[in-house]
Amino acid sequence: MLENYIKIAWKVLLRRKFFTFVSLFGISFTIFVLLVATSILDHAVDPGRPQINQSRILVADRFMATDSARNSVWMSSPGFMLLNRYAKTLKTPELVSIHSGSNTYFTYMEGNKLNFTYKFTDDTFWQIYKFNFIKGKPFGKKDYNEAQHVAVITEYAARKYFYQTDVIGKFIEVDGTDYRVIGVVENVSKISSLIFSDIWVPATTSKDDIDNEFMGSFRLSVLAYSPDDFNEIRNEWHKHLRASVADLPENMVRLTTLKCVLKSNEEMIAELLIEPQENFDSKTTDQEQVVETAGISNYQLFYLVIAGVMLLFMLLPSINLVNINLSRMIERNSEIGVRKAFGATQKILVGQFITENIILTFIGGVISLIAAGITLSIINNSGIIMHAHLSLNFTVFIFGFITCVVLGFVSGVYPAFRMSKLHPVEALRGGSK
Amino acid sequence: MIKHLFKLIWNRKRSTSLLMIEVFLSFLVLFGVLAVFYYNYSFYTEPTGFEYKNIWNVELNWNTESDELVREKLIQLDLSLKNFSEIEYHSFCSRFSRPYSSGMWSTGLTNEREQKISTVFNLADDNFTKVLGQKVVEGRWFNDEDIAAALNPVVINDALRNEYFGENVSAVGKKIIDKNDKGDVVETYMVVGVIDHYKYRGEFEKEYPLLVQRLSLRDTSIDAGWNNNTMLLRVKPGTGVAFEEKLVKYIVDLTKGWKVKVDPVEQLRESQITEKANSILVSSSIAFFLILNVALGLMGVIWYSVNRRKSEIGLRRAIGATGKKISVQIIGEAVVLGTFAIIIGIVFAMQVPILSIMDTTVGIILTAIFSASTLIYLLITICSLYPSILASKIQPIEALHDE
Amino acid sequence: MIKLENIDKVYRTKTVETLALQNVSINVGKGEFVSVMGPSGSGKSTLLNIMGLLDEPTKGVVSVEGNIIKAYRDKEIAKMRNRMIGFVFQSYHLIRDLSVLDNVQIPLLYRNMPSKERKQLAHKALDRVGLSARKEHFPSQLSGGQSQRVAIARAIIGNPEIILADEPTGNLDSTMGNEILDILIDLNKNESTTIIMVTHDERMADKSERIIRFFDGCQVN
Ligand SMILES: Nc1ncnc2c1ncn2[C@@H]1O[C@H](COP(=O)(O)OP(=O)(O)OP(=O)(O)O)[C@@H](O)[C@H]1O
Ligand SMILES: [Mg+2]
Repeated sequence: MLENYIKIAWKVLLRRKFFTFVSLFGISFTIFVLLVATSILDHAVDPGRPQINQSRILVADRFMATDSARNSVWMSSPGFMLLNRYAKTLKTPELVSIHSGSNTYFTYMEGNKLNFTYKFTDDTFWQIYKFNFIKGKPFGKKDYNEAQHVAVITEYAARKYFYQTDVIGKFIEVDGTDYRVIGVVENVSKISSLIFSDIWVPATTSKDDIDNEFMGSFRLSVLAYSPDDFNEIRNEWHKHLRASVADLPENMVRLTTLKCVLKSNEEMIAELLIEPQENFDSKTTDQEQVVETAGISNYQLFYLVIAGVMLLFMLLPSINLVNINLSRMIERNSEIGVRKAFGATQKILVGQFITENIILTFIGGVISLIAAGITLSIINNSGIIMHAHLSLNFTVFIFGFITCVVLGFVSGVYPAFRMSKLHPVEALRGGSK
Repeated sequence: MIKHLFKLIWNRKRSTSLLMIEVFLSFLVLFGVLAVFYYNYSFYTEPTGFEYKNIWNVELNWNTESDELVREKLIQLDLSLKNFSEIEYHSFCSRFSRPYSSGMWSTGLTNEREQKISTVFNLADDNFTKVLGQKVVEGRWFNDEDIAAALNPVVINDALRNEYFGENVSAVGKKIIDKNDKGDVVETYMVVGVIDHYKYRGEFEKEYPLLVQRLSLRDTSIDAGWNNNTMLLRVKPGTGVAFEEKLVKYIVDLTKGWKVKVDPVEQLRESQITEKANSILVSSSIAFFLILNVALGLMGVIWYSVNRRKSEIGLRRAIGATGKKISVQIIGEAVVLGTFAIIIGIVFAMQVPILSIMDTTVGIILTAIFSASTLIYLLITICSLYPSILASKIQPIEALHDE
Repeated sequence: MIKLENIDKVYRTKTVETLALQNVSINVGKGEFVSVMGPSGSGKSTLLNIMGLLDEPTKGVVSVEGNIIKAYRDKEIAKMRNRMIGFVFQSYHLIRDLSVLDNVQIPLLYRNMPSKERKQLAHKALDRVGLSARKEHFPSQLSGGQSQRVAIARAIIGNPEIILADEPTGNLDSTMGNEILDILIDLNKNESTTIIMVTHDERMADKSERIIRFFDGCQVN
């Protein structure tokens, strides 16, 4: 049966080449756009190395303090002092790391202006995030505690600054201070903005007064033993945050609500696209300090929104395909009539036409896969997204497969029903061959 | 003729309704892309009010230092920059006053007619216009006369003058009063001048009513920090990275370890425009392919229906219709169908200003509707042109054998 | 074999109501060769469609091999058509995208038969109509008579009890027409297949055992 379907499908496709071209064009283009979009999304959700522990990591990057009596809000990232005193002491996670946001600086070399990004981190950072070391090693606890001026740099930074990667022991200027290079790592994709950088140095070498910063520019990454521990970790962090009130700077003691949420990777990405609703609880007025640590967990909504957008995007091409299919169906009246007269049920006919359409979609899918592969490698090489390594991995491939089926199905069902509903007497009337 | 076309379309309503939905959706896509484009373009064409060539933005960052020390160093810097022949003028301002700044500081001002005007506040010194070249249309920019002024001297832009005092009413010498929610006076400003434009956040930003306060490095009431950590330089044409390096070294030495970041304003502008252009490019090329897809499909469907109706068309020819008449009929049918789709589309598109989904003027929406409709008509005509030519070539005999 | 009792068929459109068949009762026995004649528009095709279960009568009872068709449920009707009835149409209705061999196999497709067996039966059916040499041809490469022979091969491949032929020779010249008729007669004689044929040609009708005449939707005897 299937063999017969394929035979017919192939013949039908070859017969009206213009239509086949239009159909394939629409299908390939649609799936192509969706493939590129998913591969970027997938790269963000599951970037692989260095974030291979992704599923066990929780991150806090925002800090919010509200003074509900005065209706004023402070928003920033948590400060070093807050995290160092109250997060480093967390018992439930396997590892805790504090690292800063991106800082950029310029340096001048032989009449050229070089632009680098650097981050302040600690020793555990390298244990949570598994960077690929090309040369040397990361800085350890001793380097960190003694505030050694040592740096880990990327291959990219090494080539830009030293014109080579064999640079262990050489000195690099980071924002006005010289650091000794002790490790060279593979480049990190800019999509992983949390850890993306050219250079990493121990936070203890910062010239800023970070030891007194309650709010500042640091982020917290914790590695749980297992994702099941997330709630326990959040609860412990909640307690610690409550205790941190003791260290609030003077101008902030009035603050009634502190919020610093530990988020999973999915929640982080969801936040980029859907701003979380920040509700202030105004019932807590009498100097009571309320601490919030619960996750937003609206990332299900996020996936829904993404799926919705994709379906919406598929709507126009689908209708176009339906129209083309409906047009094509008229010349197959006689075929439908004959099949019905010789015993095909409606169900069989629907099956046949949907199969035909899905075959067509899959041809389009293959074309789009090739086009997407080329486009992604262009994106990777062009540096639009720095150091990105977008690829058509298994997830993206499966997604492409599913979209093919959905598109083939959606655009095939209605015409197939119209076709199969055709009255055999009607279909056989008119003397076409 | 028109009635005849309506009849044809009505009798085939089942197959045409889907085509109509398709054209309708295409209209919405075109409308959306064009509206966003016109929206940005309308801002782009409005003057920013400042020059961007040969101007450098210098951001200074100091660690925890006392305000006095910072102020002392800034004054020293201010005086010493005059010695560089490469620098024509330099000016200090707040971080939220420089060109292409990402931040914004705004407050609501209430005028005498009790209208609330959301106003952007800038903070800049006496040399600001010399560097950026804003045009003063009334009064003057800040100068030494303002040093001991009794009321806080301010320069405002045209937009604020029009909203606060009324269209084309002279503002110089008048007061602007800043009250809080309870109606208490927080601050009283004295307008000393009016500039025409200063869209400091760049080309793609709306021009907000603007109030510029005077920055003086010696003023101890201004906290050191983002209020005075930005410096703008007008350099001699052709000054390059070599001088930049020299200058950065000089400032670092002078200030004993401040961090200095230099960005030519032209580069800031370029990167902002590139970013905007890229996003428009991506969305419009996706829209283009969607529409192309639809266009090809439409052409196919029309061509098909011509093929199917060969006998009908042959008959019309036999009865005496000219080839041209047949062409007009085929195109006419498509245009009538498109008109229905566009009418539905316009009903939807009009919801944008009605529900104020986008912060736009009705003019932009109407332009977008108009051009989207034109494009759809163009598209439909082009798509039906080729099939209609084929149809006009059908011979009367073909009515007889119906293949 | 096929029995029609008091069949009415009314076509309703917005403006007119056509009574295509009016109180028609026919009983065709096993192995009979029946011709149906009558002027154009008298309801012959309508009758054949109803006999072939392609269409539902407005009133009356149809029974095939003693089974009364009560509900025209797609699945059961399709199965009956598939097992018991073979159709031959005036304008052949071959599927132009399939080769002769594939076209002939169509009824067997809906019987879940392995493809090898299908092919064997197709070869046999084509031999039967004398077209073994044209198996890989496509319908567009065949003459009218050849096309109709393929259509007959398709109709007989499933070994149906009944063949319904609506003007099978209508598009053919008389020699070709006679060839086709001979095949049908041969089937009727040797396989005792019931054959019901619509024709406008008295000489052809004369070769059958019984002639049913129609006028304006009514049977005239
Ligand atoms: N789908 C339909 N809708 C309305 N009327 C119909 C329909 N099909 C057939 N008729 C009418 O039913 C009557 C019988 O038609 P039928 O096709 O059975 O005639 P016929 O005897 O086969 O004629 P011919 O010899 O020309 O093939 C005709 O008057 C025709 O107009
Ligand atoms: Mg007939």
